[in-house]
Amino acid sequence: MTVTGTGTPRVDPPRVLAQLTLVQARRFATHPLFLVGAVLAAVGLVQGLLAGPDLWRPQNLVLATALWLGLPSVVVGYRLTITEEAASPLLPSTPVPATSRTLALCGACLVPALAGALLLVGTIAATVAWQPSADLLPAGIEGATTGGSLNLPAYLTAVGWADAIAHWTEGFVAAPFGGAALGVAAARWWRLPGGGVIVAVGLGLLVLVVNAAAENVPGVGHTWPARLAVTVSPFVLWETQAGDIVTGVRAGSPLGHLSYAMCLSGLAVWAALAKDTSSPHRVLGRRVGLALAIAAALTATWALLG
Amino acid sequence: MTPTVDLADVVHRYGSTTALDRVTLRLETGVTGLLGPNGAGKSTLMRVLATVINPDGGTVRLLGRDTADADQRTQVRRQLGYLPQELGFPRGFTAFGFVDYLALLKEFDDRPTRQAEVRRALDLVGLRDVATTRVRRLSGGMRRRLGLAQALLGDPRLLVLDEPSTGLDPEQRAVLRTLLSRAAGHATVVVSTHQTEDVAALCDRVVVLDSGQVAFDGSVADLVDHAAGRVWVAEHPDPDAAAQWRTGTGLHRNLGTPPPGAHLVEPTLEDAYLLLRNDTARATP
Repeated sequence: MTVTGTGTPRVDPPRVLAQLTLVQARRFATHPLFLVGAVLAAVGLVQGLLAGPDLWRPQNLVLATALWLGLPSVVVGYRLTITEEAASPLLPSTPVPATSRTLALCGACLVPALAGALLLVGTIAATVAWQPSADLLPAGIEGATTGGSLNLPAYLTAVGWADAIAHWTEGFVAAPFGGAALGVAAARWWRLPGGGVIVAVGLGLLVLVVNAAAENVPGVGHTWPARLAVTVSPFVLWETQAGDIVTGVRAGSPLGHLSYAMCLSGLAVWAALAKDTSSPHRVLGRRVGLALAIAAALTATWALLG
Repeated sequence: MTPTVDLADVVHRYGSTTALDRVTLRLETGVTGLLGPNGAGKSTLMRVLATVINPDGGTVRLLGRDTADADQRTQVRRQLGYLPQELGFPRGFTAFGFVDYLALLKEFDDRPTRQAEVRRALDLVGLRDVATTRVRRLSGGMRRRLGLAQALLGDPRLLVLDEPSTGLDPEQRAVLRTLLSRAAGHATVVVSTHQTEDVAALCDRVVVLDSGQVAFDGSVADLVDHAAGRVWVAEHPDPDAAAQWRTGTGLHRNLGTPPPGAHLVEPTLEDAYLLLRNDTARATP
């Protein structure tokens, strides 16, 4: 038995942060809820592939992935943060600041985004193989309405790869990352048993209610308030459906909304970091938060007006 | 020589409650025991020493650095080991994984070095065999030793241990004493405890806190001397005693003035501590 250490640690903050992120990423990747969600999302893709080109509907996969990867990621992000704080009486005595620990947790949010990216690659590959035409989204379906009563440009009608991939990226990548980051931020500010589930359910209900109301309430769907509500919600269902029949496509810019969703994700990370009141970079933090809020407003406007 | 711990008039409050009231302490290499009743301010003092909280008043210099300054505080933390009174464990970690995570937070960024250090720390507390076991499967004593293992990472120059022997069996406590006495050869070890026998066995210095103030600061022998001539064994309890209890021999140990027919005995540190507490309470208006 010896009490002689193997050496004092070297100090390389970026390297420490990278390794902390790997630790948290491993915790995220092995969390049962994430694994179940990832498997369900993957099953959705496999089912779509097995169904063949005639029944290939990338839109359904976007929604399924946002549901199975995005919402569980809220809970996982929350749980990882809460359980890390179990050691909170000890953590402030370590030289690595709380900001780095939070950044590592936010870095771990890339795990569900990476899983979504893999599904995105599969989706793009299948679409390229089976639907190489310009009609990537179902705007070309006969009878579909576009643009709404305001007759604003509905970009999905003249859909190109940029808009299609933007929409898919939002569902496959941005939603899982943003959901997990929201979970981390919520846990940093609000500790409650089951808090992650409450946030996830609240987020899911918000998205579904806003989109459903805009879609199904007669006379409401194409009004400015409805379109605004849909646009500022964290996730947009770009097509309106009645059963399996596509009845319309929302106006606006998917690329703009992807940018908006990324700004929201950035705001979630910022909110998580803002909890650390001991950070020497608080003034810079406020400026970054303000810049992100302005960027979110601008990108929401872009998403709304196309 | 610059003391490792140099506190001057340290004050800390929780709302209207004063947890530390003008505490002044200078500690150097060796083991110092911190005694005091519940609510005396021991854990608050330990948290100040661990740089977890900044006091409301006074100055704190640890390892020659002012902890009010963020950069100097970080420098202190690089040479600090801390075991809080109640340590939770993040879910999903193995014993090795937890200590490895704390090693990262102590900036061991070179993986082979870090892992060697983690293995060394687990060896020290006798947990090498359960390194791959999930923390939630460990017993309370094992978890306490795991907490101790992370505190020992990097061979810190200042070890702040809040009730380290809680939940340990006698053999483990003996191992703990061995560990701390060896560490005290080159480090300043501050141990907060309710176990006076740990202090008597281990510490060269004892500080008694009462109501946030230092009620005693000196050697263990000096504190024991405080009780010399005031500890008696008798067949009957003395109702006027500062404290009394029936011992395993059937006789009653009385602290304070001698009851009729009592025999004077050698005081222990516990006797001295109880008498000091009693004297302090009487002196307080």
